[in-house]
Amino acid sequence: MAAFFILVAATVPKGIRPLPEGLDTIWFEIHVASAFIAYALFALAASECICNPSSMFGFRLTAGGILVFSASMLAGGIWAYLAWADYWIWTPKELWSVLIWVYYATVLHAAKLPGWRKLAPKMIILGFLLVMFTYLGVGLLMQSSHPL
Amino acid sequence: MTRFWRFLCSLRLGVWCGLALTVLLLVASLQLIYQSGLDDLGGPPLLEWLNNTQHLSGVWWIWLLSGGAGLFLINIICCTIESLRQTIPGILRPPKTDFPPSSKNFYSALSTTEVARQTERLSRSWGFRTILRVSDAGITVAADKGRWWLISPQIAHVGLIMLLCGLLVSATSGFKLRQIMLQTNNWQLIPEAGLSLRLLGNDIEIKQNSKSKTYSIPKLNQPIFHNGLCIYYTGEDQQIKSIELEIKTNSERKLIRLESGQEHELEPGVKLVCGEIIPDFRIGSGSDVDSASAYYRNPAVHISLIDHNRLAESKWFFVNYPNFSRLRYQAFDITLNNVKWSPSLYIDIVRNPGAGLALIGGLFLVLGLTWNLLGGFKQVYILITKAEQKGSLLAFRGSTETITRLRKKFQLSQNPN
Repeated sequence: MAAFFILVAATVPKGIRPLPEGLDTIWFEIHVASAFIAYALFALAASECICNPSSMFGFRLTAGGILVFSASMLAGGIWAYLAWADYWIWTPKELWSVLIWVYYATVLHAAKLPGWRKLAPKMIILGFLLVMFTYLGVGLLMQSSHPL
Repeated sequence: MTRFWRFLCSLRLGVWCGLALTVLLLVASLQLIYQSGLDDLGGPPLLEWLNNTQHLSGVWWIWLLSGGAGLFLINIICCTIESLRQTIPGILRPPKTDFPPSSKNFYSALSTTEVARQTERLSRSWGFRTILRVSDAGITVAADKGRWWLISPQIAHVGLIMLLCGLLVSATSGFKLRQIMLQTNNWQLIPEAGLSLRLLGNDIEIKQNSKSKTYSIPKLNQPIFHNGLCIYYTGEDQQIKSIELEIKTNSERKLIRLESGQEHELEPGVKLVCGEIIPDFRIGSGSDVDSASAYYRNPAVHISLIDHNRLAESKWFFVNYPNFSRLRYQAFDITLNNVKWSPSLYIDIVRNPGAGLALIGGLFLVLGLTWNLLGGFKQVYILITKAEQKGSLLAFRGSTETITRLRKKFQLSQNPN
C-alpha cells in the first residue's frame, strides 16, 4: 500500500507553493497531522484484529485512535471557529468524522457487553472501512469542505 | 433503583444509541448531497434556520438526528451520575486489606517485621497509599496508587456532555450578521449586536455602552473578540462612493459628480437627483429593480429628474452597461461617465454563546481519554508470614508490574533456601 501511494505521489507536481491564507495556522497543522495519526492507529487496530482477534491490543490501538481523532476534531473545530465563525459545519465530511467517532466509541463500549465481545474485532475491521471512506470516498464522491 | 433508571443508565442502551446515531449520520450525509435547498444550512443558528426554511418537511433527518443525540445525551448523563455514585466512595475509602489469597509465594532472608517495614517504606516512596496491619495470620501490607484514574472515563463523559450542550446552545441562540464597512468617520450602528462600528485606516473602532475600543482590522484566522462578540474578516471590496455624469446640451458638455442623495440643478426649476445605489441589481417581477446581494458585482444607480417639483423622468443607470445608462429630457442628454470607488471591508459579527462550553467540553473529553489511556490503577496486597525454617514468606496479589519491582528490590526467591 505504501509503495502504491509513493508511486501516486511521484506523479503529483512538486513545485512548492505558499499555503492559502486560511490554512496558514497551527490549528490546521495539528488538525491534519493528528487525523492522519488517528487513521494510522485505526489501520493498525484493524490489522491486529484480523491477525489476532482475541488480543486486547487491537482495542488499545482503537482507544488510542479515538483519543488522537478527538484531538484532531477539537483542533479542526477551533480552526473553523477562528477562520469562519463556526465550529460545526453541515457538510458530509464533518458528519462522517462524527460518524466514525461515534462508531468506534460504541465498539469500545460494546466490547464490555456479554455477547458483543466476540463481535467487537469484526466491528473494528468494519470501522477501518468507514475510515477509508471518510478519508477518500467523502472527498471524491461527495461535495465537502475538505478536498480529501 | 427503579427499572426506568436502570434502563437509562444501561450500557446496552448507550451501544444501541451509538449504532442508531451512526446510521442516522450516514443518512444525513446522503440527504446533504441529494437534497436541494440546504446550501444555507449552517449560516444562522439551526433553530433560526428551521424557523425560516421552506423545506421543513424535507429535513426530517435533522429532527431524527436531534432526537437520537438527545437520547444518547440522556444515557451518557445517567451513566456518568451512576458511575460516579459508585466509584467515588470506593476511591475515598482506604485500601482494602482483605484480598483473596494468592499462589504467588516468595521467600526472603529478612525477618517478617523488617520485610514489612521496608515494603511499606518502599511502596510509599513509589507514591502508593499504604496500610500496614498486623493480625494472627501475619503482617498485611495493602497499597494502591492512582485511584482517581477510575473516574477518567467519567471526565471524558462530562466533556462529551458539555460538548453536546454547547452544540445545543449554539443551535438555539446567537446570531451572525454580515456588514459592509466603509472608510468613513461616521459610526455604523448595528442594533442587533448593540454596538456601533467605524473603519479608520487599518483599525476598526467599536463603541458599546458609550465606551469605545480600537482594534486592528480582523484577519483570516484572527478574529476580534469583544464582550462575547466575535468580529470576522470575510473579504474586501470596492464600494461606489460617487458617480460622474456627463450632461450634454446643444451648446455645451459638462461633467458633474454626485453622491447618493445629492442633487444638481440643470436649469432653474429642473434638477437631477442621485438616488439609491444598489450593489448587485436584478430585475424582479413587474420589472422592479432590487439587489441580489450585498456584493458590488453589478451596481445600479437610480437617477431622477424633477421639473418644477414634478417627477419628469426616473431611470436606473447600470455601471456595467453604460449603453443602457442614458436619460434624455428636453435638451439634456445625460449619460453615466464614470464611478468613483471607495474601499470597503466585509465583516461578520457573530455571537455564539455555546462555543465556549463546547470548547471546554472538547478539552475535558481529550483530557479524560488521555488520562484513561495513559494512566492506570495499581494495587498490591502482600501477606508476610514467618517461614518454616528462617526468614519470611511473602504472598502477593495485585499488579504484576509492582510485584515484579518488589521482587527485584528485595531479591526474593521462590525457593526457601
